[in-house]
Amino acid sequence: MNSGREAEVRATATGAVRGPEMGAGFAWGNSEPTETGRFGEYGGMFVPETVIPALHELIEAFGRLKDDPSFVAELDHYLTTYCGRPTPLYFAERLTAECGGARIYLKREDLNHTGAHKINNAIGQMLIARRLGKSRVIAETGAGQHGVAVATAAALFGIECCIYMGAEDIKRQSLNVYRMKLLGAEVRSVSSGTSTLKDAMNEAIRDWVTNVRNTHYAVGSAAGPHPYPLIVREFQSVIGREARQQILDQEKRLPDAVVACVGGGSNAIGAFHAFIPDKDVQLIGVEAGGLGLATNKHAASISGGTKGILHGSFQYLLCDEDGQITGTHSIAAGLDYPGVGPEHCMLHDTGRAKYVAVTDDEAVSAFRTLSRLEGIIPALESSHAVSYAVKMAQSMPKESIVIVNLSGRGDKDVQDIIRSQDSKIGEMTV
Amino acid sequence: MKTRLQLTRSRIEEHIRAGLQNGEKALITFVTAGYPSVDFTVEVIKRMFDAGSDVVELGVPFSDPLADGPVIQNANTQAILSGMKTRDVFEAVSRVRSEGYSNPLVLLVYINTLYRYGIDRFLEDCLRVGIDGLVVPDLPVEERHLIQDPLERITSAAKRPGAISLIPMVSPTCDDRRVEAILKGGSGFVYCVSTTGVTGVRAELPAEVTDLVGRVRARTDIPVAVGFGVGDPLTAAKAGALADAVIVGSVIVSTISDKVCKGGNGGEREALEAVGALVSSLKAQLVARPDVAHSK
Repeated sequence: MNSGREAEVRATATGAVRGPEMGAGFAWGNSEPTETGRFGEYGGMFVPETVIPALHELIEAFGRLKDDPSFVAELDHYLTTYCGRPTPLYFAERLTAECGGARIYLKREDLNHTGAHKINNAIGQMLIARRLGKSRVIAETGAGQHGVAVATAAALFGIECCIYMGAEDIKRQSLNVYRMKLLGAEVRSVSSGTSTLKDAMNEAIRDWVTNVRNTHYAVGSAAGPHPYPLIVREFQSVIGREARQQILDQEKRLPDAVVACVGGGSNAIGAFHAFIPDKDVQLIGVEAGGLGLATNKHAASISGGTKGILHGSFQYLLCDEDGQITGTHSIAAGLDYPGVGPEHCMLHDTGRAKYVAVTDDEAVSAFRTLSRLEGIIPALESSHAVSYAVKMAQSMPKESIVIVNLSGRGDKDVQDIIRSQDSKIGEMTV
Repeated sequence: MKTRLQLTRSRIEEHIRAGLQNGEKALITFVTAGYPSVDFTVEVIKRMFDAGSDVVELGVPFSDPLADGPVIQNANTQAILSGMKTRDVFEAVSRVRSEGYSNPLVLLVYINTLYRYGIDRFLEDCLRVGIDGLVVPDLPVEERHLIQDPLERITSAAKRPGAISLIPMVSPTCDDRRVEAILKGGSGFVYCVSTTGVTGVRAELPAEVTDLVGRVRARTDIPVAVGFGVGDPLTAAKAGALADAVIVGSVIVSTISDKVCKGGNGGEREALEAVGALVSSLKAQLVARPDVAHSK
């Protein structure tokens, strides 16, 4: 069993570095939103007039740069030599054995520099900011992973950086706050509204409205006004492109399902995108079910929301009949957001992707399972995807294949788990 | 106030133009509806009109007001916490109208509020209670048809075309082409955002607004209003020298919160007095002969 496992690991490693088409090789997606950023009916540019010219500048710049060989080469260079791409696609043998069903693969985005998929987009956007001559970059962050990624990229390129973070999230993700400060970023605590990711995004937009002339706003989610959902998807779609090639190399076939957690939806759209034309590959987005969809203490915008407009985009949204955004809850700060990216909304409506919810307890259980069975401590966000994948794999035939996008590592969550969970986990960690 | 029999033109424009002919610039004053209560909102609108406000801009509370600074954000949050609903805003306006106040009234409303209430229903209620215009700060020209089309349909069906203006908003970051696109089809007044940023009092009127007002004037004869950052009589006078109308919001809301927070039981009464005095002092800067304002 052990030797088989080693062979599998070697194959993964070989597959990961082989072939020029693999590399971090950049190829852009081809499903474009409309001129005003609509994916189906979703998306748009619902923001104050002051920043609309900056959005148009970004649309123009991105349209130009994505086909500019020097930009593509520059991005490739940093993704491979700085971020550590391509990330491995790892066959989770013990987890698969425990489930007794489908073969489970993990796309190891947690092995990226800074520990999550967020760096893919942060580097890309920082390169755009630099070419636009912006001297300052701002970002919102929930769990702190996007904030750390932007602070990292800002340090790398010597750009002034300011990160907005909800006061509540600052409390539960103190490690990431310290990392951002260490990287030279200013972290601004936001205590308006619910003091979480949504409010951090409000403040970031207000900052951008004020300082738009010298500041680039590096949105971290595949959400926000056009062109952000497009830009973030394009920078994250490297995940799915690599995974698709890797599974073809390792299994000589496409997977039956790709599973990813969805807050705003950047890692999920990145993982899904390359598979969208592969009609037999199920795409499953796992939303934060919090304490359960019936309790109203969740952040499952598609599974438990209605349509509305927030942060520049028409989308599925958690709001009341007067349009007031309702408080969200998730144990995973990075999923604790009342909206979801417009392309996910469209994929839900067309049925191309399916969206489900996993509760806090189920996510924590998956967090423990993966740690013990595979020696991988997943982020609480990614644990949602692991939880659902485990559930579905159990009822699938042994020859079927499920890829889970392991979007980030869980070191940041360990303290919070020790604090908030029952003594069982406390005992386990001692 | 002059009565308006002809309803096919913007009452806002007519009102502002009538003032200009008498050497007066218009004062547009903002409060957040339901802060601290619906009853107070009705009283403060009346008081502002009595004190010389030409147009009242009433903010419909929204949980995530992106274009607003901390003062108005707080008023929004408090209004929602106190149970203010969108339908209560129409109720408040209806009460003001029923007491004979006919000056133009516009709503500042974020797009999600409009959408969730139902765009048609919202516009029909505006028509029913006598709202003259809408300022939608997160509805750029790219998305304006979402409101403009139903607005034209509903006002035409009611045989009151032009009764409700969709107020065009321009910012110093707009180039000339964009200014032109925004002005096209606009009516009521042009809302010139004085500077990049959110609502809130600033020490000086930014220099860039002069250029913006000039570029707008060169392209339209709709009255031009300057807002964002006007918080004292001196700045109001400067803005008034530049434009046809001056929009004042945050300083009024902070006056209300000061009095209501500190005033105990008499807080709301004191707030009404203070807002009345503030509005008079602002209007005094906008008339050719200050004694005209005081004689009201």
